[in-house]
Amino acid sequence: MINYWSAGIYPRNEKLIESTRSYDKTLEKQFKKEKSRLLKIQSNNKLDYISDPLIDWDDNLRPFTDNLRGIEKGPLTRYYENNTFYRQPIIKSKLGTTGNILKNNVCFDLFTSKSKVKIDILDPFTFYDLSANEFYKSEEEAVNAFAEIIKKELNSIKRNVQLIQFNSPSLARIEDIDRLNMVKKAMEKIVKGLDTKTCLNLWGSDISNTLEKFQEFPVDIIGIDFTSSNVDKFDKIEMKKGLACGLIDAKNTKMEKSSVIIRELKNIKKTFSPESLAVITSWDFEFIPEPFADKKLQIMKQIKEKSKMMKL
Amino acid sequence: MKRFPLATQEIGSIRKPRWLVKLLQDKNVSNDVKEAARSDVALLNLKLFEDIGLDVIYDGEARRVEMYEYSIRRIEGLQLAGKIRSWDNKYYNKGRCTKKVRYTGPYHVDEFLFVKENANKMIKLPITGAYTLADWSYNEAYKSKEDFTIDLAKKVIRPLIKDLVKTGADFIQIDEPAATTHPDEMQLVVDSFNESIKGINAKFGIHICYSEDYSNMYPEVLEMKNHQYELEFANRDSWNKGTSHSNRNGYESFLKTFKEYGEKKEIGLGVLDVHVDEVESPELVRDRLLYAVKMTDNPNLIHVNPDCGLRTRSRETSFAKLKNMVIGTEMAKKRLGL
Repeated sequence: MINYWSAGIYPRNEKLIESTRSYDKTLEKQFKKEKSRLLKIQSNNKLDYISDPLIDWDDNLRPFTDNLRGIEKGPLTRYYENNTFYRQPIIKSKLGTTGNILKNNVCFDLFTSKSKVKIDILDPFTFYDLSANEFYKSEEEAVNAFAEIIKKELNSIKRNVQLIQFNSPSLARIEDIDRLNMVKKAMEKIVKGLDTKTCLNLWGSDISNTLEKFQEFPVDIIGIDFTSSNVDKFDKIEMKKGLACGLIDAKNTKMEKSSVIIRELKNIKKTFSPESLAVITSWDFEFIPEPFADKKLQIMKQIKEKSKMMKL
Repeated sequence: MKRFPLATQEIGSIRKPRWLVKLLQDKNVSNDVKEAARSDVALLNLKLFEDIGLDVIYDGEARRVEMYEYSIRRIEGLQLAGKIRSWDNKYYNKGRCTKKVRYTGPYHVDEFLFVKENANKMIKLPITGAYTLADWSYNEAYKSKEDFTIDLAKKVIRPLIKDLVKTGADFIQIDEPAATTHPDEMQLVVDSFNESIKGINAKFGIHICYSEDYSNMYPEVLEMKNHQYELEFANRDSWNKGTSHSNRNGYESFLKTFKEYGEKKEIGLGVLDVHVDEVESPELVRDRLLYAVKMTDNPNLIHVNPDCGLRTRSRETSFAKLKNMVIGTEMAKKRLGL
């Protein structure tokens, strides 16, 4: 059986965009209403894990930038190769958290009791890489400080969550084994005692040279962005983990054909022989306008139905 | 074109007055009235820039919705897909390319003729470049981004520039804010720029902003046939006065590389942060300029501008910033005996 889910921040619809620009007094209510609608859309399109569309987050780091102790807001900074910018966190002193940032910024009150809930959070290296470090003496020290923060945050919500997805675009770029080992150790500290299914989602880079190393990471599923990594570049291997395939291009309005994706899935299954298989979006959906994201979710549903029929 | 040291200039957009935005949104107002109102604001911007004392001016892009969308709406093969976040609550309308692109006639010509008729200073005309148009659009029609970008350069931007030069434009700033987004695509940025201006005689600048490190443009950018770089720096610089490397940390890396490669092109030095309301003091502007002159050993290479268009700030803040930019430049000139 193949699982399906979407990742990260969902695009705001036109009405919501206008409301955020005019600082509409009913904005909070509108966010809540729209989040409920988007959760329903995820359910209707038969996604196996449902996640907060995070439409009220100004960027992937903002709730942490705003609420972590030791952080000051820095300049607007380009978010990887996108024409989208985030407010860079500047580490000024020892990092600290109340452990309530996710609790207060994810819509746990809107999930139904039937929902299998997925939570998105950056891995500690990506947090570090997107920040400016003016306090910690080494990369390792800063990564470990973020790992402690993430652990505390996840421990406070883990009872309500069935899948934790670490979104890791910066980590996906690393090829140096010593640095990967350092992050692996930090991840081990995070997941120790967590007892929740985890996915390390390696967005935005070709990881054909480093997949073997990532297999040693203490997570249940590895996510590969197949819009950046070509399947043919990987050697045939026996994966010891689940594989989440970023086959739905969240950065292009061109619609996927379900038949093409199914062919890709067959090829992927042959190449990786993973313990489990999932189809996911390649990045946050917020890089395409809302109507296109909606259509892509419908395509995911079609793929699910077809692959079920074909007993893939 | 004559070179003169520390010439002050605008980069592009200035926020439209509230009354104009309201009028443009009013469905009961005729297009003629709207066009006349746009002309009023273009003229107002020109005269305000002249009064402030800028040496090189344009109309604050009073007739354009936004630098990218304005072009997308006028190029065959491109259409708007919807809104995408730029940052926080700021969004832009992103285009998609659904068939091969085609130039269907000049845009910017009428606005340029109006500026030419009314300006008493040197004119610099900003247009959006091929690479940025391709990078910011979804490509559904071409096999590769390279094919898409070069086709835009040859078939749209080059004929547009030819038409603009025919009407008298002699200094064109090609806006390429996406230029350094993908460091491994710098050759494509250079090739598309050179294709866009091929065989055309005018002064050309390239405006780039919010790069992680402009030094990544080298060595490829040496082949670019531009005469000026207009770059953002203030956003990343400290607000401390002084001309030491530590005080001018936002400028140091690029200026060192610029010197190392023996560059002789002009730099339009971004001295105003367009994302904050705080107004830079004339002394801070002065020190940023003195530092750039110290690093390049040639004041003729340094021109002075904000980091980017000022449209995200209020008009009051924008003009206050520009005023201090001009005062700070005069202070720097005095210090340098220019």
